Amino acid sequence: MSTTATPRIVIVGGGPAGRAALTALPGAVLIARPDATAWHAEPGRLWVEGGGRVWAEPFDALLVCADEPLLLAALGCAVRDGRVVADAEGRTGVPGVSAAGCVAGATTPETAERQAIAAARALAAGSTGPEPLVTPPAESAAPLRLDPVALAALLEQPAGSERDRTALAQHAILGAVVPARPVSLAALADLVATMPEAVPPQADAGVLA
Amino acid sequence: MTDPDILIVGGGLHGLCAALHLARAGRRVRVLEARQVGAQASGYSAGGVRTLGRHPAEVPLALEAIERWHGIADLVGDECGFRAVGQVRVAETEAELASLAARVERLRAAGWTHEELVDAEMVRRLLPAVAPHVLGGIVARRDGFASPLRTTRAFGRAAEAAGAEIIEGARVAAVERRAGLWRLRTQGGETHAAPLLLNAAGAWGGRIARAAGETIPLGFNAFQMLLTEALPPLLTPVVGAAGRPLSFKQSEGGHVMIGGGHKGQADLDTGTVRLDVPRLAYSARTALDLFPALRGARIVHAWAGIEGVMPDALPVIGRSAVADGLVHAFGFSGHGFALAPVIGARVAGLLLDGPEAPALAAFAPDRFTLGGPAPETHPALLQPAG
Repeated sequence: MSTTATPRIVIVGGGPAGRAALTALPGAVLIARPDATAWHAEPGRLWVEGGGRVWAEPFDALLVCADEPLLLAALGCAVRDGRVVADAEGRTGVPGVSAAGCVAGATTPETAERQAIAAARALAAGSTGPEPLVTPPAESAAPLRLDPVALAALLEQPAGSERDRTALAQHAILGAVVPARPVSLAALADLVATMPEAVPPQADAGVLA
Repeated sequence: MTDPDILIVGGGLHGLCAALHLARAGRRVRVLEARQVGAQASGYSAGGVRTLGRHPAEVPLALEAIERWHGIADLVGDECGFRAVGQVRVAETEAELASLAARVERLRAAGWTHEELVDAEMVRRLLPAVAPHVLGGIVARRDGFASPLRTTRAFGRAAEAAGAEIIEGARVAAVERRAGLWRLRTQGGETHAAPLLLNAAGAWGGRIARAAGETIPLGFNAFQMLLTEALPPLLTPVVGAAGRPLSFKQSEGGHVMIGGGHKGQADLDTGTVRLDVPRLAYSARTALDLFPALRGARIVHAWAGIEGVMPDALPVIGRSAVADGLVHAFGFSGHGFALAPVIGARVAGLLLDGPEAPALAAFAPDRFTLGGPAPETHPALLQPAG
């Protein structure tokens, strides 16, 4: 997370919505395929692959304008009928995470642009989502959990609404389905040169509740 | 079902295997599972069926278990995806190779011949794609791997067919012993009672034990795994490394699974995990170092399951030291999957008033309160999770 006074804003998506958002947020970082692919997200950090390497893109605010529901679901955003739930200013209910465009339900490029501009202006005004949305009903859970190999077979299919819908139904059972997009093993391997220091097991002093 | 004879907390592999044996012995068994069958470690395991590299205390159980795996369909009516492809532990340095050779000698001195020292040429015959710097290794040829979730469900089906009752979505919120009965209340408010209780709650086993008045130093890990896209045939045996955490195998469909012990962060209260990307990256690096042909592969799935771990990385299996009618079977520390067919039978024996088996002494629940675990002069090799 940035410590500068100016929030670091990252936009994902190079389509009409992403470009419109960047126009309204000229200081933002744009992550757009094919040069850079956002493949995983965690609070305050977007994981990106591009140019044969993997890196973490820190953010104070994230505006996802690409059709990446798994990326937003990994951050805890509510998803309903395959679309991320967001208010009129793109706020998802997860502080600092906004969405616009197809992923937020836009059905035309014009609507996507309007959503993106509204979300970008809200972020420029410093509105990063202090008012969480009311959490909607969760995505319908799949009747049966897939084992990891079966889930891998699903996730290696081209991204699309059918694949994402099935993956999101697993998300409702399993939690985050990772990665949102495949990532190069070699590029990931290059992220670290030495074995990370061993960490002890997590301690548990909890009680039944 | 009328009132059960035995309650089992935990619908993972060990709980279900015990349920199967108890039900086949004619007991009325009820399994309470907080989420779904195989929701945590049992469903997320790498599925290694391994005698190789075991702690000496686990070797007898592992050798007995491997025999059961070779006839697993006879036990549960399903092959469980078991493939007896062998397991190989490779040495990348002379020091590692010397350590493996010394281990094989120690095992042979104890009468165990299941681990075989092999030179670089044999490793390359077993693993044609292995990197040229590998100097040799050890092999257990009857080992292999299975499908964890399929296995867990198979044990569940077999237990139900034998008369056991499995209740999913029944998270235990309170435990008490009163008038000779264990009384368990779930979050949903239901109460279940029986004279006997098996704590097979995995990473939550320490909480069940504490609620029953027994402190057991159980921690937990979120062991991370990676899966590549489907690739052409690259290797047949399961591969580990002597000097760094690795469990590496290729599924029948071609997906290469990379795990071994690098951890994410887990939350026991919510059951959620958060992956640690740099540690995932090191797993990828280890796999790439050993199998350069993976350079063009893409990772399509990464996950972690929550596993209970003990300070000595040995499970807790035995009767409670403080409470009547309570048996524990948890804390398998990332390598309990392969042992399950045996553990269920042993645990059932303990619940049915069988004798304390000497083979279980190293796993006693009170070993940390009675002066600590027994000193171990011949420790296990690095234990890859799964």
